[in-house]
Amino acid sequence: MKNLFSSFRKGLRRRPRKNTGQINKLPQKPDHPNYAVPLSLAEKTEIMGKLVGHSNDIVFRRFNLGFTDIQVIAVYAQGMANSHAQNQAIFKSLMLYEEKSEEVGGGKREITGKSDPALIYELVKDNLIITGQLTEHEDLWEAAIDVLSGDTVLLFDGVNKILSVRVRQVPQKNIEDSEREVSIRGPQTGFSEVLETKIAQLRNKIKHPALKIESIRGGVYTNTGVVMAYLQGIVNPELVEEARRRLERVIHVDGIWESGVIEELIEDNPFSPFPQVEITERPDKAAAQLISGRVVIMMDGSPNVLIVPTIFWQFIQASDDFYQRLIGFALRPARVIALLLTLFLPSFYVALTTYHREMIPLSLLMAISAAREGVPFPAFVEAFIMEGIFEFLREAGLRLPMQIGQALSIVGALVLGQAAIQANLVSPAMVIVVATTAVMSFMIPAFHFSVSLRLLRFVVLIFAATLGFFGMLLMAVFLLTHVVSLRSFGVPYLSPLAPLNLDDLKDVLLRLPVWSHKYRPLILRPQDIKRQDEGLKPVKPRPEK
Amino acid sequence: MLTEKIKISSWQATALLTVNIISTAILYPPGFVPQLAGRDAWISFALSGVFGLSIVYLVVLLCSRYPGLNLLQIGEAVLGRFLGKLVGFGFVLFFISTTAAIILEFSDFMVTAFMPRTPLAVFNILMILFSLYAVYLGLEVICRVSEAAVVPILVFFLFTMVFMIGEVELPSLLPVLDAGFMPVLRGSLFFLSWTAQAFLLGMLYPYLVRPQQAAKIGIYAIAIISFYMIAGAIFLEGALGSGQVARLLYPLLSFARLIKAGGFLERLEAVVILIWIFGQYIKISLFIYFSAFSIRQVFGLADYRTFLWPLAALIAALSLTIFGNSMELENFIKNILSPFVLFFALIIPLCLFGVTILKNSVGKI
Repeated sequence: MKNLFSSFRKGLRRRPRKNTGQINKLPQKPDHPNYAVPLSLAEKTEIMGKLVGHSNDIVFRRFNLGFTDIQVIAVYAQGMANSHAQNQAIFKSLMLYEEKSEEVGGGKREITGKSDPALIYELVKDNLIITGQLTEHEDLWEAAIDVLSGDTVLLFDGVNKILSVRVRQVPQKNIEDSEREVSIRGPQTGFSEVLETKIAQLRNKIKHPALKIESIRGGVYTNTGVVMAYLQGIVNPELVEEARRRLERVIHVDGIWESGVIEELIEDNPFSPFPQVEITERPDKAAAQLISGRVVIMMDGSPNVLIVPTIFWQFIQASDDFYQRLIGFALRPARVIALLLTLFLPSFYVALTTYHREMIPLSLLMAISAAREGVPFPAFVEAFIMEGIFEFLREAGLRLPMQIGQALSIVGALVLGQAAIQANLVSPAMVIVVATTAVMSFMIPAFHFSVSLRLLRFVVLIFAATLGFFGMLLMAVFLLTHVVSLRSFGVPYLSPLAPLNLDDLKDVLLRLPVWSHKYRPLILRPQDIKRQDEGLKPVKPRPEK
Repeated sequence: MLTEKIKISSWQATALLTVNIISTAILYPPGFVPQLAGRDAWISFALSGVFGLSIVYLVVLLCSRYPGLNLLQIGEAVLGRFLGKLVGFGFVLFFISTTAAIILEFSDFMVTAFMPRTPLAVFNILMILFSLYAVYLGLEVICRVSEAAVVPILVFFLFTMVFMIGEVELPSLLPVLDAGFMPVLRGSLFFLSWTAQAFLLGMLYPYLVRPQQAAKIGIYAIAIISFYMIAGAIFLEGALGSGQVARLLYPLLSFARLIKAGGFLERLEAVVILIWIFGQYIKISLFIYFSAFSIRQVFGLADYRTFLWPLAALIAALSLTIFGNSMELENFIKNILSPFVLFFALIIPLCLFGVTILKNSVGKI
C-alpha cells in the first residue's frame, strides 16, 4: 500500500525523460559550440555531411581546380542558390583555371598540383572567386548554417579554413505598399520581408555613419536573422545594452516566425493586456523613431519591425500626424477621446440606463425608454450580446477573402442590425452605442493596441453592470494605476504625462510644429539631447521700406 | 527594472498632497463650516489655509534638520528608541483609524447619495481591494496616479462651478463678520484637520528629488486647496444662501444637481462622482500605504507587502465597526477629528522640534 502511494507520488512528480533515441541527437549549436575545421578534405566532408544531414537537396559537388589534380568540394543547397551567380563566381572561374605562374605582389606564385595547400587556398580566395560577398569560416557549424541559408561553401584539402560564397537567392516578394498602416501623404512603401532588404530600406532613410546594425541568429532550429539597429551617439547606451541582454533570450527560443515571438520575449510585463512594444511596417516610422533615440529590432521573414522603448501615446499617433500641417494638433486629442469612448461608452450607457436614470434629462430618458419598450433583455445583456456579435463579425471578416467578406457585411448589417431591431430583440439606442464604439475603436491607428482596449471594454462593462458608475470608475482608476505602473525598457509607460515632462508633452497630447521641437524625447534619456538648431521657425518676410 | 529607491518629483508631491486633501475636503466641510461660521465660511477656509501653511513650515523646518529621515524616523532619532517607537505606534494607530474613517466616509456618501439599497460593505471591501493594488505597486505608482488624475479632477471641479456662475449673487455674502470673529475661528479650526494633512510632507520628505523645494510643495498644495474651498464657499453661499448650505449634508453634490447648462446638460453628478472616486481611491491607497509603511518602520520589518492582506482585513473590519451609523461618523468629524489630527500633525512635530532645539542648546553648553 505504501509502495502504491510512493509510486503514485513519483508519477505526479513527472521527471523529464532522458533523451536516448538517436533522433533527438541533432547537432545543436548551444550544446556543441566547437566545430573546428579539420585539415583533411575527407574529414571535412564527413563532418559537413553529418551536419547538413543526408538530405536530398544538399549537393556535394567534387571538382578539380582547373586541370590540376587539386580537389575542391562545393557544398550547397539545391534551389536556394542563384545558379547563374554560382556559375559565374565559382564554377566557371575555378574549373577553367589555367595552370600558370601568377604575378602576385611582385613575387612569383606558381600553382601546380604539388603546391602548398595554403597557397592554393589564398589564391582562390584572393584571385579566383569573382564576388564581393565572401566569408571565411573556421567553424564548420557556421559554414553549415551558410549552406542551409543558400550559400555555397568551398572545402579545400590541407587548410583549416572554409570559404563561403554568398550566392543565396532568397524567395522574395516585391516591395509593396504598407497596407496595414495607410498614410495619405507620407511615403507609401512598407518593409520587405527579407532582412537584408529591410536594412537597406532603413539605410536609405538614414544615410549617416551613426546608424549601427548588430545581428544575431535567433531560434535554435530556425536560425533566423535578427537585427538590432540604433543610432550611435544619440541612443542611450544603457538602453542598447539592455536590448542586447534581452535579445539573448531570442537565441535560445525554439523558433521565430514572427516579430511577435520576439516581442513576447523582450517585453517588461508579460501579463499586462497593454502592448509594450510598438510594431510598424513603415520604414519612415522606424527611421523617425531611431532618430528619436529608440532601438529598432528587425527579423528575417516578417515585414513587422519592433520599436523599443514604447510609451502609451505612441499607439495613438499615426505617421500622417507628422506629415501634414497642424493635423496632429487636432487629431491627437480626438484620438484620446476615441480611446476613452472605446473603453467606456457601452459601460456608460448601461450604468446610466440601469442605475442612474435620474441623471438623464427627461426628454432623452423618454426617448430611450420608448426605444427599450418591449426589449426582453436588461441593458447589460443587450450590450454584451451586441458587442460580442460585433467582435465576432469583425473577427470573422478579418480572415475572409474579399468576395465572401461582402456577404458577411450584408449578414452583419441587415440581418443582425436591422432585423434584430425589428424583432424587438435589441433597442435602436443600443445599436447606436455599439456602432459608435466600433467607429471609435477604428480611430486608433495601432491594431494590436485597439485589440486590448476592445477586450478590456467587456471587463469594464461587467463592472458597470454590477455597480453602476462606481464600478465603471473603479475599473477606470484601476486601469490607470496599472498603466501608470508599467514600464517599457525602464521608461514609464504613461510618461511624459506621469511622470510629467512638459517638454516631451509637446509631441504627445498635441503635435506642435516641427521647428518647435528643440529636444529629443527626454524620457528616453538620449545621449544627444539636442534635436536641431533653434531659429528654424519660418519668419514672415517684411516688405522693405 | 523596478527601482527600489523611491523618487518623487516636486510636481508629483504637490499633486499627491492636493488630491489627497481635496478629495475628502469637498465632502463634509462645505456643509459643516457654514454651520459654524455662517456666511463667513470663506474666511474660515482662508484662515485655515494660513494655519496650514504654518504647519507646513514647521514640518519642513523639522525635516530639513534630519535629511533622509521621515517623521517616524525623526521621532526615534530625537526621542530615543523607546519613546520614538511609542510615537511611531501612535502614528500607526492614527493612520489605521483614519483610513477606516475615510473609507467609511466614502461608502457612506455612495450609499446616501447614489445607491441606497447597496450594503456599505460592498463599497468598503471593493475600494480596499482595488486600492491594495496601488499600495502593492508602491508609493511611486500612487504618486503617478495622482499626478495623472489631478488635472482632470481640478478642471472638472472648476467646470461644475463655472456652470453656476450665473446663479451666484455676491451681495448675499454681506455683511462680513456679522457675528464676530469667534465663529469664523471655530470654522477654520474645524477645517484645519484637512489643511493640517499637509504634514504628510514629513513622510514624503526623504524621497523628494529636490528637498529644498519642500516648502514650495506645501505652499502650492495649500494654495490650490484654499482657492477651491474659498471659491466653493462663495459660490455655494451666493447660489444657495448659508442657511440652506448648512442644512445640506453634501452641498457640492446638491449644487452639481442644480446645474442646467445649454438646455441638455443637466445634473453633472456624474462628474462629481468621477472626482470623488478618483480622489478617494488615491487617498485611501496613500493612507493604507502609510499604515503599512509605519507598521514596517515601527516593528523593523523588511517589506510592507508581506502583511498587506491582514492589514487590509483589519482596516475593512474597522471601517465597518468603528462607527455605528452615519450620525456617529458625522459626530466624529465635527467634534473629534480636529484635535485628533492636530495632535499628530502639529503637537508631535512641535514637540520633536522643541526637543531638537533643546538638545542642540544643551549640547552647546
